Order: sequence, then C-alpha cells, then structure tokens
Amino acid sequence: MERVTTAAATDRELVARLQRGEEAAFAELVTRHQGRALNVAYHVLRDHADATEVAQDAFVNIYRNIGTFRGDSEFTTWLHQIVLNLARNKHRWWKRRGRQTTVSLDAPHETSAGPVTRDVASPTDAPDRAAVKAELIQQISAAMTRLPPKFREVLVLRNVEDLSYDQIAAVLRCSVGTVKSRIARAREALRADWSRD
Amino acid sequence: MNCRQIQKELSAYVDNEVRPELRAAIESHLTGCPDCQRRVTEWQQLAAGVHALPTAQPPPDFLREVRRKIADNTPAGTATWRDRLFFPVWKVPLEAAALVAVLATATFLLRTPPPPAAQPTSEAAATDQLAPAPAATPAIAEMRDKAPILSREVPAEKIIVESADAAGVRRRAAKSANELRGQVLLGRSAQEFWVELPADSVGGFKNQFGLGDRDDLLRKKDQAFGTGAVKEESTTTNTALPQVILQIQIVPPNTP
Repeated sequence: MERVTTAAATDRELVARLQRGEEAAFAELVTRHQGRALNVAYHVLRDHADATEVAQDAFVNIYRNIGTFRGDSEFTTWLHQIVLNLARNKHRWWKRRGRQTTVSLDAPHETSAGPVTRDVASPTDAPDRAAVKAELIQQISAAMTRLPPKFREVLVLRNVEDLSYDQIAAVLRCSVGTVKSRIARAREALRADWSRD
Repeated sequence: MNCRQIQKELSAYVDNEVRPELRAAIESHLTGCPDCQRRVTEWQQLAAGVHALPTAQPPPDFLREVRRKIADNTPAGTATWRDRLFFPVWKVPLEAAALVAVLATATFLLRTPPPPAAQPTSEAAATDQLAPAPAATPAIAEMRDKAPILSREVPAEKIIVESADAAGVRRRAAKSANELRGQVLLGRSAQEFWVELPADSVGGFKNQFGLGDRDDLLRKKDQAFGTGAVKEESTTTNTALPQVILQIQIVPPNTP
C-alpha cells in the first residue's frame, strides 16, 4: 500500500510539472505508464496494433487535457478511463465494419520498429500462478476473446491491473456493488466458455 | 447462509473483497460443501489464468509516435490510415450496402421499358394507324442507339406537331434538347418521340423548338390555339421531378 501511495504522489508531481509546461515530465509519465495503458487496451481489443494506437492516443489526450486534471483521483484512474473510452470507440468502429479479432499468442507482433514479443507473466510471481499451465492460459485467452468487452474490461482491471473493487468503481464510474456483480458475471461467462473447450 | 447465498459471494471472496465476518461464514461453509469448494478452485484458476495472460510490450518508438501525433495535431481516437486501408471491404457498413442496393434498383428501373401508361389520344392513335413507321433513317438509328429506353410512365406534356418531315422535327428537337442539357428519347413509332429536359428548361425548349412561331416545319394543329401555335394538352407537370418528359407527336399536315 505504501508503494502505491508513493507512486501516486510522484505521478501527481509529474502532472504538476507538466501543467507548468515541463515537457520532460510528460516523457516520464509516458515511459512509466505506457505498458499499463497498452496492456489494458490490448486485453480489451485483442489486437496489438489497435492497442498501441489507443494507448498512444490516450497519452495525446492526456497531454492536450492536462490542464483539466485537478488531481481528485489518481492519475492512473484517469489514464484507465481514457484508455477504456478510446478502446470502446475503436471496438465499435471495427464492429460496425464486421472485423473479427483473432490473436496469436505465440507469434511476435510485427511493427514498424521491428518484431515485438508478447511476454507471458512469470508463473513464479505467486504460488497459484506457478500452477497455471500454458494450455490453461491458451484456453482462457481464447475464452476472453469471446467475452463481451464490458466483461473483459472488469476482469483485466481486476486480474491484470490488480485494482481493488473501489478503484475499478472509480475507473468505470459505477458503484462497488456493480463492480462486484459484473466481475462475478464475467467470471461465470468465462467459466462457461472455458468449460466448453 | 445457504449454498446459493454463499455462491453469490464466492467471486468477491476469491478477490479478498468480502468483510471479515462474511469471510468467516464462507470459510465455515466451504469446509462442508465440496460443490462450493470446487467453485472456489475454478474461480481461483480463472483469476490466475487471466493474470497470466500474455502482455503486450510497447514498441521502442512509442513515445516518439506520441510526440509525432501531438505535433501533427492528429485528433486522438480517430480512425487511422491503417484502419481505413485494411478494414474488410467485403463487410461494408450496412448503410453503404443499402445505398448500393437502392442505386442498383433505381438503375434497373430506369432501364426498364415503360408500360403503355400514356394513353394516346384517339387522334394520335388514328395517326399511328394511318402512317406506319418507316424504316429507321441513319439519323434515327443513331438516336435509337444512343437514347436510353424511356422510363417515365406519364409525360408532363404532350405536343402535337404538324409536319411532313418527321426526321427533321426529330433533328431539330434533338439539337434544342442538347443545348438545354436534355435528350431525345425514342417513342413507340416514327411519328412519336419523347424529350427529357430539366424542369427549368421546358420553356427554353419550346422557344428554341419554335413552338409559337410559324414556319414550314411547325404549323398550327388546332385553330383554337391560334395561328402558328401547336396544340398542347395534358399538362400534368410533376414539379417534384427534376427531369420533365415531353411527348412529341408528329402528324401529317392538314390532318383534320
């Protein structure tokens, strides 16, 4: 908990410096949070290129609207909100055009800057994670792709970003009770899909 | 608490988001309920599996690209060139498909020969019977090749012209129509043709075509319209249409 408080204070300091026109503070904010922004977008959109654009656009949005950030919430809450909004817009844009997203977990993603690999979270992070087999991950990843975006969002915020229910409620601007029921329904949908595989 | 009540809380229990007293009640229940124990194990596996999903690594030029977008003043969240270039064209938006369908239907209808809706007057019908259509002259054949098939059911106006030179009347009408962004359409016989004109060019066509002027080609048909006039009838102009159809009927001179 102390680590989070320290990081948040530093984020606020960077935001304050950026609001005073210090460009270097923006570069530090981007460098610090680009992985977080990209990951959330990636897990919601299931497409690396789309996720990269959404994450970059989120920082562009932040740069242009930094004057409006009053610091009532954490910087990461604001970042998550912007990323999710942009990801939803992107998803709707593609949905209208009927694209079906597919993603390979193994192949590196080709970008203009060369191939970029997708790292699998280390199974040594916690005892329960060590038990997770590659096959299970593959199945869950496939099942996640078939989940409605609204369910993917809450599961990513909870299990990838490790946000508390309170923090998720702040990001989604809903009640903790809504977060709780939505996560339960998302897991039930994920379990039902996973069971069919 | 019974099983159903407990199961509603198991997801939050796995996330460690339940109050201490509820946690104690759940754990007490779990010791004697294999079904709920299995459910908890599933939730834990799923949570760990989602946590272990592959993560995306930012490309090395991430920050540079953000700065470029800021410098370019690119609106954040807009569809990019990549989106527009590679979106599957075989799955165009519904509205675009509907537009294509409407245009295709309209094109088909415009190329369909009209039913004989415009009832010829008894006079014109008699003329048709008395003067069978001659073989098409080269000029008429050319018009027939170029002219689209008539698509309107009812002409806005019918004009009867007295003349022994039907081909000359056609040529003159075609010249006038061309100057007024219109065109001559073939009718059902050599003595009849149709002119399609922009609605605001009808008056100009009549003037250029010589309606109202005495000459060898156009002579009065009906004395009621005065010397040099040409009989005009069935003026049912549909102002909603941007194009107006005039039906020209050619009759031999001195036809009663």
